[in-house]
Amino acid sequence: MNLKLKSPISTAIAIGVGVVVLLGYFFGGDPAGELTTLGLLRDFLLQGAIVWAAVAMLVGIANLASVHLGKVRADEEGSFSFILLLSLIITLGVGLYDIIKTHTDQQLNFQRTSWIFNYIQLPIETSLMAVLAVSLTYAAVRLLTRRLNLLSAVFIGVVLMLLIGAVPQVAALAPLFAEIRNWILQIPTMAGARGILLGVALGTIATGIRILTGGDRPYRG
Amino acid sequence: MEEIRCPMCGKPNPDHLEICQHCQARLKPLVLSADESSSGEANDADTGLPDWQPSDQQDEPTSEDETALEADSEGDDWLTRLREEGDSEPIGLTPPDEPPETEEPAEEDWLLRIREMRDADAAPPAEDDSSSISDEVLPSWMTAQEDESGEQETSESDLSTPDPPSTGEERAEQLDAPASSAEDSELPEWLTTSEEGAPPTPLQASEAEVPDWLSAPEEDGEEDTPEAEQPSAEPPTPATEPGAELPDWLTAIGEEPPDPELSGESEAEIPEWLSTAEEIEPDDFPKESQPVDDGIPDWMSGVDDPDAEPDLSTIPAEPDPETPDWLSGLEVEGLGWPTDPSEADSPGEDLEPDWLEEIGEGAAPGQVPEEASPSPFLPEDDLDESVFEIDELTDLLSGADEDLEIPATADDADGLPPAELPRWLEAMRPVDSPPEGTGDIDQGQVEQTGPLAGLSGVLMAEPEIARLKQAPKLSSKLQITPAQQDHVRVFRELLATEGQAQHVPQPIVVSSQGLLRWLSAFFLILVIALVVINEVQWAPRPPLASVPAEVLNVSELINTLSPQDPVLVSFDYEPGTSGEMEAAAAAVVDHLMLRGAYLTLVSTSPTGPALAEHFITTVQEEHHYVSGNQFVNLGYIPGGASGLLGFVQMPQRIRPLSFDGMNAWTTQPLRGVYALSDFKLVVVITDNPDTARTWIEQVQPKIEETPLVTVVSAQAEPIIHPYVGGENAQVRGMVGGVIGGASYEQVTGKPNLAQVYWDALNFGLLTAIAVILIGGVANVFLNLFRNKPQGEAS
Amino acid sequence: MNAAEMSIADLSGLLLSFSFTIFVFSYIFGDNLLFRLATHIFIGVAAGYASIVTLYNVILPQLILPLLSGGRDEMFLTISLLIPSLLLLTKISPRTSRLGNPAIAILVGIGAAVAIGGAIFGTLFPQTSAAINVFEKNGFINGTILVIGTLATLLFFQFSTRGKESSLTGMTQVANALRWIGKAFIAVTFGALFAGVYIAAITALIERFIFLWTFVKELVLPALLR
Repeated sequence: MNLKLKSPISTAIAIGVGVVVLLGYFFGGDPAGELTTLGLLRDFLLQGAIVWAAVAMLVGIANLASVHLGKVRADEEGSFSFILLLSLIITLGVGLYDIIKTHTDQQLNFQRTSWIFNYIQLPIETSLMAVLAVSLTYAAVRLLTRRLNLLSAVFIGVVLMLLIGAVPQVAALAPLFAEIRNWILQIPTMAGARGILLGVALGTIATGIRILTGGDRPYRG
Repeated sequence: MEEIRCPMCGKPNPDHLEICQHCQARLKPLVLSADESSSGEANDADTGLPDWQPSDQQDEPTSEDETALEADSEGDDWLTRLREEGDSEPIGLTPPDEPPETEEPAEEDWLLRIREMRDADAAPPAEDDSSSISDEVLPSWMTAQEDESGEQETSESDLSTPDPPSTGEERAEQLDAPASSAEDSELPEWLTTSEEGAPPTPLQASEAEVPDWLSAPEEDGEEDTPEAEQPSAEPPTPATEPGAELPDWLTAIGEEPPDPELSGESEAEIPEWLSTAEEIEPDDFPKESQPVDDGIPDWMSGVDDPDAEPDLSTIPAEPDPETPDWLSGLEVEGLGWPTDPSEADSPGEDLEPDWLEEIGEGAAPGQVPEEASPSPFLPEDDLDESVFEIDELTDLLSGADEDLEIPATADDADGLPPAELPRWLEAMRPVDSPPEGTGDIDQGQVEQTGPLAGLSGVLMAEPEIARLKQAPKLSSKLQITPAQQDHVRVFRELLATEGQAQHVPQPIVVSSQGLLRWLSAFFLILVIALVVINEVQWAPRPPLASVPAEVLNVSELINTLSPQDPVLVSFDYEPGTSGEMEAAAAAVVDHLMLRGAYLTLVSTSPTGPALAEHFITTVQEEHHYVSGNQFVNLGYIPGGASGLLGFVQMPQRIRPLSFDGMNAWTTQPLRGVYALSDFKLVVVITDNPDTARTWIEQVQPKIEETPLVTVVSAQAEPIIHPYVGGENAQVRGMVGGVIGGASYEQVTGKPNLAQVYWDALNFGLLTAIAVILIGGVANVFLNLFRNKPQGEAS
Repeated sequence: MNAAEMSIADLSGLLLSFSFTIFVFSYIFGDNLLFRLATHIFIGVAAGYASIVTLYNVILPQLILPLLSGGRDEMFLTISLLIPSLLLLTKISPRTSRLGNPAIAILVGIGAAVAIGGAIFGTLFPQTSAAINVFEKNGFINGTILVIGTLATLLFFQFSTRGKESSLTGMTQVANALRWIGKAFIAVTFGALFAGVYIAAITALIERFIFLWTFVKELVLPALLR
């Protein structure tokens, strides 16, 4: 194994922390159910992971804001970036006000933040998902115009069969389509999905081992 | 026994041999008499080394020597050539090509004739041995120079030479030893002699080396050129007898007044001609004269002048452009040297020949004509600064023809006296000079100027080089032809159109695709809108018999719950799929509420807590669940799998407070719950297969006997399906999408939110399938129609 | 949804929802100003809302409040959590970004270990066991299809080397055939996923039209008919 210790401290930390948590899976508790030292250490790290992940998300949002702030300064699509920053700041302001109000009133007082969520975020995101239906319809149409090989034919055939079988009236009028749909979902789809899940699991294990052995260091930067 | 070094191979030969025993080359010149050739000095001269090579016997080579070296090395060639052609025909002007070793026996006659004349005029100073030694290798014309310069002794070089050998004995002592020992001497003896300030040259010694033709001009010049008579009046000048064959310019060489620089400058390293030029005030020189000094023979400066005096004295012995300057200087000196000896007192003036004075007349001292150092480019004043701007380049090109400038030639220059072709040269022309205009230089047909005038097909380098002309004014502007200008115009148009947005016509295919997209969207939206507006309920509910087993399992598990059993419900879906997820989960959560289960809500998504609150308080509003009493919202658990595992390991530490700030673990829903395994059921509502897998991987193995069921979106259903199964499966039951929710409603027998979507979903899917099929077929036909014309066209 | 019973905030909120829905739907006719306006507002609001939830639900109770009102042990624990958090904050600035690498390394190490444990105990062992026991539940034919499909799909992911045609041995030919079968099963699975996404999208479209129609029916039409 080629270990390039460019960031030895971070690598040692990642390996040490990972090994502790992984060993905690097996030796975290004694037979009586009490936590061992390894288990306590693992729990501390897991609790810290939650906090640090939250901080990391805030850092990511700060980075997003800084990027769009730079765009505003550079006048590169500055108007939309300004709108984005404005909506972010307004939401943050309202949310902070709600947090302060909640703590001062000693009761949940998130009406304003919920208003923003229910009337702005939720409809826009749902509408984006709805527009996806139109795009997918057109994509399926385009798919038929492409030169179909066996695999693409299988793909579009499965799509059509599952859609047809999902139509209640078709299922009621021709139960065969519903049975075919169920069979497709129960047998070949599950076989493929299980293979994919096993492959993903193996890949996850391989990647995790690479990280825990220092072969992969995504924390450099 | 003395040896002679072969001039060809450099190997020593016995003294008596005339032909080299190694290379069969002649060792002794044919022109030498028997007594002269037998002298050791003559042998020294014929050591085989070139004459111009400095000899060890000389102290230091001087600048004068260097000048003489160059002159001799080149002069040998052209002299030999001249000698060859002088016998057969008029003096040839062809540059010498052959080495001097190829002397013809036919030269003997005229050489002997010159020698005889020299003998007759031999001066008394020839008695000195040392002088005779030096004179053996010194040309007579040079001897004459030395003769005069030795008398004057006004140069600095003489002064710098502390103790010039004044007597012949001293010189002989200096010369003998090196002459006998240093056979590799590179400097000819005549140069040594001149360096030493030799007294007037004995002609008998010079005859050994100097050809007749060189001696003769000294005499001929007196006859032909009256100007040359004055210098010839100098006493020691041997050129008193007229010669028939040599031009008088050579005579003038012998008669020229002594050059103080030439005679005495033994130490200076600068060539004589250059040192002469240095002495002359720069302002005295017109700048036009610089090209002349830069290698063009002075005599050629007057070639173009039709008024030039056709005196033979002006004829150069060698019109080769490579004629050394020293010879040119001598030639000019012969022409314009002041006859008054008093004039020679001032070296600066004396050195300036007449032709220089004539040239200098055009320019006042201290003033430099503009033509003096013409720049290859236009002056800055004339330059348009925008010329070099890229943006304006095309403009420049477009107007180049208007600004086209013809470079000025030397013919336009004023003040340059055109040279007059001598009569003898006129006579040399093979044909009559062509009339004006026929010898167009540009056409390269007939040589118009110079000695080759009238010859056709000659290289045109001569007039360009030889002519005194002002350096052409080169314009920095491009000279382009009309065709090139057209190209520039086209290029400019291209550049101009490049910056303009071109209207790209939309191809028919694209518009048809766009139409297809709009049509598919239109029909899909139209059908769904109609169904929603009309609130039709045509679609049959899924039959109970066709309800999937995983849906039944969920219902059975919920049915096993007792009132107030804690149930953990995860709201892990995004707002975008809230419609589907609410429709799918409504029946399940409704069933839980119907069973009276206490719900603990949690989410790994930031939006999950709000969606959970919205779901409980809006979708299931009828159950009037109150936070802290029937349900508790633990809020958001960040960290993905890590956070979820931490929540599994220590839920109270990870989520001590509810989303609304209560101490969650003291509320009714969480009473008696210390770990996730204390929950009676775990329900994961998610639209993301990865989130569902994370719950299954991290939570399910820890909750032991607690069943885990999922309510997933239709897009996550195929991936989660392998986890779903019977009693031993990781996921005990699953409700997938609106279809699963509708099926669950059928199981519970209570219509819920899925029913609202059911008819719209029914017709929407039908429309989508129809659009996909019809659109696909239409697209195939479009492609066929689109490809057919292309194929026919091809 | 009754206008008379609704507050101005709810009414304006519904109007905003209606407008933003139309803005996003305008994408059907191509990318345009309204669509981009809606998406940028959405991004800003989503980021702000996530920040608020994180601050309120995680940072405050885990980092801030224990420092203000916690005991000694709790404070010690909080400080130990606070140090990596501060290191993470250095990632905001590119100049101090390197200081946050150890904190990121902690997160990566924990995540890798958790992922390994979950993959092993949550997927690898259970799914391998489930793949073996398919014959009991699904019968021979379906069980065979499940086993072959699972192995073929797994081989498609894992068998990545490709030898020359001339050097194909019997095993590699079988492996290539299995890979092709695996591709077919993956195509079936992706087809099922596409159909599921499509159904979910149509459901979302239906939900939006239900909202739009409800808005028009209960707010716009009464106002127009009034």
